[in-house]
Amino acid sequence: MEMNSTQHWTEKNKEKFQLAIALDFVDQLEAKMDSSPPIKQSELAQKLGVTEGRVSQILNNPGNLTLNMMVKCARALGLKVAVVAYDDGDSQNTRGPIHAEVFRSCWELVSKPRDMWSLSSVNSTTLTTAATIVGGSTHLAGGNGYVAGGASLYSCSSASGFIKYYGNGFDNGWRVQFYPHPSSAENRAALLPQKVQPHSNDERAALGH
Amino acid sequence: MDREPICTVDIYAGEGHQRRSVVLLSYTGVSYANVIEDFSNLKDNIQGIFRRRFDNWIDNISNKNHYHGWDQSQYGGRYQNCFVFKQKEHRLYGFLYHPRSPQDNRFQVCALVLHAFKRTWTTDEAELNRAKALSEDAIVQRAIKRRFDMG
Repeated sequence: MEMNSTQHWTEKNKEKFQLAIALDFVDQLEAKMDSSPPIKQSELAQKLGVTEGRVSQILNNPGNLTLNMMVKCARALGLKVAVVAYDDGDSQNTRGPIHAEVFRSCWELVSKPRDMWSLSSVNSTTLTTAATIVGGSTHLAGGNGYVAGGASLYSCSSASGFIKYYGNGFDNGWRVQFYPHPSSAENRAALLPQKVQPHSNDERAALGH
Repeated sequence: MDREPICTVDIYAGEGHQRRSVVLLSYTGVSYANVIEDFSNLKDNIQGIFRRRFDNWIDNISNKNHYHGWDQSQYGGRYQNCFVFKQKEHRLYGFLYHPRSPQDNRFQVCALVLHAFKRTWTTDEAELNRAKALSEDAIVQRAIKRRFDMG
């Protein structure tokens, strides 16, 4: 596979790009099949009305996967499919396609909006209490203490909500979302997650990082 | 007088990436470190699948079925810096390394050193021992550091 040294392998030809996104799709199917309760390839084959060998071929060599088959596979697993065109500022494709899991995770992070109405209400709400959320004993509403960066996911419960931290902490800035407990009366009216501002570099330094 | 062994470091994923990169090594110091040639002999679609998995690892997409390391609870913790990429029976073994340490401790390279074709679920420690040995080889370390030298 001869390539320009800075060219991503998916830019060699469109079939390579197609293979990459088909593989990403298969990753998502397999994640669903591995989830609880697990779904065997034989079960998927039965739902699709094809042989197990055909399912194995789809999962292991998806380069020729059609949109029709993608929809059939997704629906057989109780999933839906979206096709997303996006501009990541890399028109020369030096970094390859963004994995579908990134898009799915982002959608989940904003509480799975069904439409632009839901999405616009999430975008318009921010909290500016990041300094107290990530301050050890000082907390949004009491609860557990501060956790440092390094791992990919942390959680911290508070008296009035559940806070999830994503990303690598200070490396990329905090990505925090506050999920109000439905049982909390003051938060029952605001069930959508609210994005929290990340720490500034000065705030990080003050916390010893 | 024997010439010093030569280690070639080819970047296969993450060129210019700030956090991770995947390289394949060839090393004349041992007979088994010829993964560059072995990879090029794989079928085109197998290469493509591995390349996408390289992309996914450098982008921090979690998938232990496709690639993983070994933690301290496994094999007495002997292979904590070893790593493997998998596709059906194909295995690419290597090790994790921080070539820009101490200036940049975050940047991590997965250096793949050998290919194996497995028919069982169990890991062959021989391959892990080989990967570990190369991870500790000064010539190999120097070659990787040079490749990612920030100047």
